[in-house]
Amino acid sequence: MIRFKSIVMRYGGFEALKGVSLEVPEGQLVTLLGPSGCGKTTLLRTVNRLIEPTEGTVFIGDRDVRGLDEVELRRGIGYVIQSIGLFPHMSVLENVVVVPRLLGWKKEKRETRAREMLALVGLEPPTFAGRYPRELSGGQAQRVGLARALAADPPVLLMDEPFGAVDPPTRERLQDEFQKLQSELRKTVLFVTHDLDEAVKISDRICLMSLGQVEQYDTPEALLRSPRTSFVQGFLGPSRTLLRLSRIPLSRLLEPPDGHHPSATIQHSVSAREAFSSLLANGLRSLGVTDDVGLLIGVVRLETLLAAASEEEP
Amino acid sequence: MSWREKSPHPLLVPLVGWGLVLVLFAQQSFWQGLLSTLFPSARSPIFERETLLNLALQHLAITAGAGALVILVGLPLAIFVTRPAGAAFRPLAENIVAVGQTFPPVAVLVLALPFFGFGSAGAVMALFLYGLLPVVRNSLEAFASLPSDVLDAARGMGYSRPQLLWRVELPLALPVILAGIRTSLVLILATATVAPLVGGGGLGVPIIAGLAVSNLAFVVQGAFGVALLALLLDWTLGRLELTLTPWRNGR
Repeated sequence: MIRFKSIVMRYGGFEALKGVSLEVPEGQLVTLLGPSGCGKTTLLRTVNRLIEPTEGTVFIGDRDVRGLDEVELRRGIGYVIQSIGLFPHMSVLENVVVVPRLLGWKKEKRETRAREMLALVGLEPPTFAGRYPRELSGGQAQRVGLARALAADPPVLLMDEPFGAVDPPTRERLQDEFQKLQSELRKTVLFVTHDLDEAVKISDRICLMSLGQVEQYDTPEALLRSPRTSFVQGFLGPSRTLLRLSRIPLSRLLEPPDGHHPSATIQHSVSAREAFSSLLANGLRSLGVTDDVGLLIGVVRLETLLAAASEEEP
Repeated sequence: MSWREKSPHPLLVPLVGWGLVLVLFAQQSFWQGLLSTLFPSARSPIFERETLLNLALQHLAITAGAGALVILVGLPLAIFVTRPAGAAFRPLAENIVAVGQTFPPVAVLVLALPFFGFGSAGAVMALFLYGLLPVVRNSLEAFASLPSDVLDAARGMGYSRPQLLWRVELPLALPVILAGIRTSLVLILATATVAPLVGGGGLGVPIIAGLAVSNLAFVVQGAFGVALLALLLDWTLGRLELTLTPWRNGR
């Protein structure tokens, strides 16, 4: 658990954070969302003490981070940044085991761990272990960055726009994989992004910030359904209904096959939003839904999707 | 990249090169023959007070002495003034080092005479001052241009300050630092030809003697020796850079 208590950060006369209080529950992924300059990165960096707040206290569990040795503290927290910051003079394997090495793990244990981590993020160890960072694509480098952050198995992860620098298809794939990983690992994650779609997709809770203050802290569904301030409403924009659909698994809206042969089909694992897009694109009122091997298991109708999107309570 | 796996050691070739060149310098009678063919009118075609091999070894010793001082003083100085504790001394260090190079080494030699007397020590000191600038300036530049995202990640991962210096900053700054060392050592080797002015040895001895007695053969003997050593040194240090920074190869 990470808890911020009235964090104020002043640079001269400018207040970057104006008294932020927030709790990130154990095992949850919380995104700090907001436009540039809203203070989200500053807030994130107070957790591993790369920034010391002017006022206020950050707790990890029930311990004040200022009471901990900063080097020890950082070794216990996974850290991923947008530019990744892989060490160019170290091989992929050496990069991944940086923290275990700082913690004094034995060489064998480190290397076993590095191979596990590389496999976990989808990079075959024999191919990638010996490469240098300059020999990696953007997406591969970002995976190594994630493996490096996870290597010492820290309970807390700080991620500062980790998928911001890769192309959209790669970003989406990385998000999917990270989401899957997180559902198994259940780390306490603080995730900074300015991308609303990303936040809605991966978060347990979203903290929407503006000008150094928390505008709304809620689950993605609640945030999209009932924006509390005009800033939130403006930030979410007119597509928030569509975004709500992206939080609904298609399997929940499934109806039994009606006997007609569907003119288009879609996989059952996608979100309601993708089904909606497909209906619009094909100009249809219903779609067949198939399982993993392509067998028809039901249909989804436009009316059902519209009803789900406009529902007041889930 | 394939040469990394094939060849036994990338520094083996320069090592063999140095061996061959020293063996070549040891062929005193060959040089005598060559120079007397080139300069048939010269009364004594080869410098006879000292063998060419000894002159070359003296020259290398002076270069090595000044070079070692340059590295041992220049690098720690650059590291110190790029730490928070030493930042205030940075402008001072930069100025002193720059003045060291603007001063002609010949003048430094003469000024050093009262302190070190005749011999190689004065020459080593003068060359040390002269060669300090490239090493210090390159090292300062190297530390200043380290990628900030890498340093941020390193701090966030929990490197302590000394670990950050040894395991991240120095290895990353190494290519630029080594380039400075290379420039400096080649400069020192070439400039070491002035050492005989204060009684030091080296390949400058036949050059200066040759100028004094208008014997072009002596001058050619010394100048050719210096040029050969300078080329070999430059090439060797280039190979060393490649070996020490394998992560940059193939760029």
